[in-house]
Amino acid sequence: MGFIASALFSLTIILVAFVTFNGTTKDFIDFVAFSKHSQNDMAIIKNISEIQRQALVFTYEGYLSAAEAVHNIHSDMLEQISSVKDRDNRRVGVIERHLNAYFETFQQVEKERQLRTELVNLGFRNAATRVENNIVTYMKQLPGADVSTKKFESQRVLNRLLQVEKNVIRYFDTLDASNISIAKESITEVKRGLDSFLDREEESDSVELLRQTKHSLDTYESIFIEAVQRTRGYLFLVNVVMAAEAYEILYNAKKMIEESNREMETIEDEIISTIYNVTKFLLVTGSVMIILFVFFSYNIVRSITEPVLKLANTFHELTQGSKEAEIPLYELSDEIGSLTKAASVFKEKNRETEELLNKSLMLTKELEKNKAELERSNDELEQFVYTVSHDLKSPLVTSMGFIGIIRKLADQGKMNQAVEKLDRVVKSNERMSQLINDLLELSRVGRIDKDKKPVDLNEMLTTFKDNQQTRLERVGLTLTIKPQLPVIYANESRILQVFENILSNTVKYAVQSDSPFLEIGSKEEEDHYLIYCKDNGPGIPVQYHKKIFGLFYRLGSKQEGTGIGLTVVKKVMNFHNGEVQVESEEGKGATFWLKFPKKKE
Amino acid sequence: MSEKEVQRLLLLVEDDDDHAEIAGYYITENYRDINLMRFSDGDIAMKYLEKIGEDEDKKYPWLIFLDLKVPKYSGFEILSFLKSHRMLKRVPVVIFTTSSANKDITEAFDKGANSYISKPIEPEGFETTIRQIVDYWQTNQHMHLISSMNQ
Repeated sequence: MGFIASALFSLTIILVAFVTFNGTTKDFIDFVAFSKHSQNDMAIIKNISEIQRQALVFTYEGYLSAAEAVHNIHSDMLEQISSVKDRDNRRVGVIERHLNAYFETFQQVEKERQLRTELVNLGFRNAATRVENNIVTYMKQLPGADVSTKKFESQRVLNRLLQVEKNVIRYFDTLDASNISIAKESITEVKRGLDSFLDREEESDSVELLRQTKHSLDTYESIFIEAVQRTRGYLFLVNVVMAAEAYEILYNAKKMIEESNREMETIEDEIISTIYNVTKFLLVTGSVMIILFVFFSYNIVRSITEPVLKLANTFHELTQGSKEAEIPLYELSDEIGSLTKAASVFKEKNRETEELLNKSLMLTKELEKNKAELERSNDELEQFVYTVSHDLKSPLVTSMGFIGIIRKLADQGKMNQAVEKLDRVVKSNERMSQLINDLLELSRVGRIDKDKKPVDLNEMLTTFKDNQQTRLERVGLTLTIKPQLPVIYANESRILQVFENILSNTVKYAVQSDSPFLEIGSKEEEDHYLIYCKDNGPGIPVQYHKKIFGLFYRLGSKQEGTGIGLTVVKKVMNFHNGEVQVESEEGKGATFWLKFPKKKE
Repeated sequence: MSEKEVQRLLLLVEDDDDHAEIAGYYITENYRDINLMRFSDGDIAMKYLEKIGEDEDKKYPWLIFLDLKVPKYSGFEILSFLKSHRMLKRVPVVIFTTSSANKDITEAFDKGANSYISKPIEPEGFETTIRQIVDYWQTNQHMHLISSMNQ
């Protein structure tokens, strides 16, 4: 999708660029055409100036080459005009019209000039010559006496006449109007001179001659006037009509150039604005396309990478053992689909693994518990072996020691002393025997008598009291059993042993106090019973409260006993998931607390 | 033993009366100049040791026999006290016990015991052992040190 869109965009941009380029090229061609036109226009302007110049040269100088030049330039211009005629411009028509008018006028000027030239060259000269000849003839006919005056006057008229000719020729040469007035004046003077001759002349021949002369003079004058008028006419044509036409052509040509320039400017502006617009468009579309391209590329990449990333994330979670990892739903038949399937399998495996792990964890915990128990019993056994070996060795050391002494005394001949020491050996061996018996007793706890049943302590302790009666009386100990003792779930013979051992301890120290007593009672707690055995013996210092339950531990070396009794109590209580604790201060008696759980296990 | 020698004080920390009697018999039999003083439990021993240097009649001993299994304060506790004491740490301590367990031997030497001897279990062993211990410490030159401490 994205790629197609991007391709379409690219195509659009290429098309736009192409169209723009074409447009610009067309504009440029137009521009070039316009520039050609304007070049043409310029040529027209140049030509019109040139044609006018040549025309003036012809007019004033009469050079035929100039006229020829005018003809050539005119045909050139016609060509130029026809070449720009396709421009469908009214100004071209105007220019053509004016040029035609101009040329027609020029032709007229040519004609006029021709006529004038003929006039001047032939008519005028003939008339002038005739007048001259007549006057010269007249002068020859003049008589001798007053001849001199007449001759003189005739000579003057002749001079005047020559003056006229000179001025006329000068005028045609320079076209200076002042020459005309001088010529006219001279003609009038010649006329006057002739008239005065006529007035004074009687001779008919001479009169006739004068009249002829006068008539020639009039012809001369009229030719002169006509020539002047013709000259003036073509001068008018050249200076006014042709100039106007030339001006018109020039004006129109300039206008055309201006228009061309304006059009060219318009085209230029158009090109610039087109280029600007296209550039802008290309820039905008390019930017849009780049953005779209990036967007689509991102989408395409995302459409590929997102599932992969999600899957990767899923796998990451799966590898960390998650069985809750969310597996994206991609029902694709491609690699991603396969990966999705693989992830599901992985997840299932994780679940199974975790189950197995949980099982093995449970097993491990159990194993650890067993191991801890084993270690504890191992430690206990080690401690037991250590203590036993130490304490069993002790009477052995004693026996051997005394045997050594007995031997030595015997060697020294001190037989009586030696025999005395024999008794110590016996005592030591008896003690050893007692130790072994107690140890056996201890080892029995929790090993042989496993049967547990509800035991009514009231009943049991009453019987116990009766059985111990002789022992109590011997040391004067009062044993009080408080009523409403609980029924506990226990091994009766072991529990009985607990009370026996506690009583034995009390009896052991009873000799140290007046009216010794032991009171056994109970307290009910939320989940257990507390049985207390309180005496008024010497008490136990706080620092020995834990030590007294240790194997073979005795508070004093002089006390009888093996240091096993309280160890047995502790072991029995542990066997019943209970506890034993002592509460005592030195000199203030002691209370042993036995804690039995209510719950039957 | 010559009479000019100063009486040597030997402390015996021993809870077992029989053992104390046997040890005492061999010591007094063999070494007339040794003044034997016996403590039957840790507490009594500590009470005496703590007062040395304060009470006139309580002297620094020349040698101490220390049993490990004594009531109230164990032999190790007494040993620790002795070896951390400013003056008493100079007094040789011989651990004399029935135990021959490795952990006891290790702990004893860790805590600064000078010697560790197990109680013999042969008829003639007791006398031999006692004499060897005392003879050995007799060859050491620390008596003068103890005497000067007691001055």
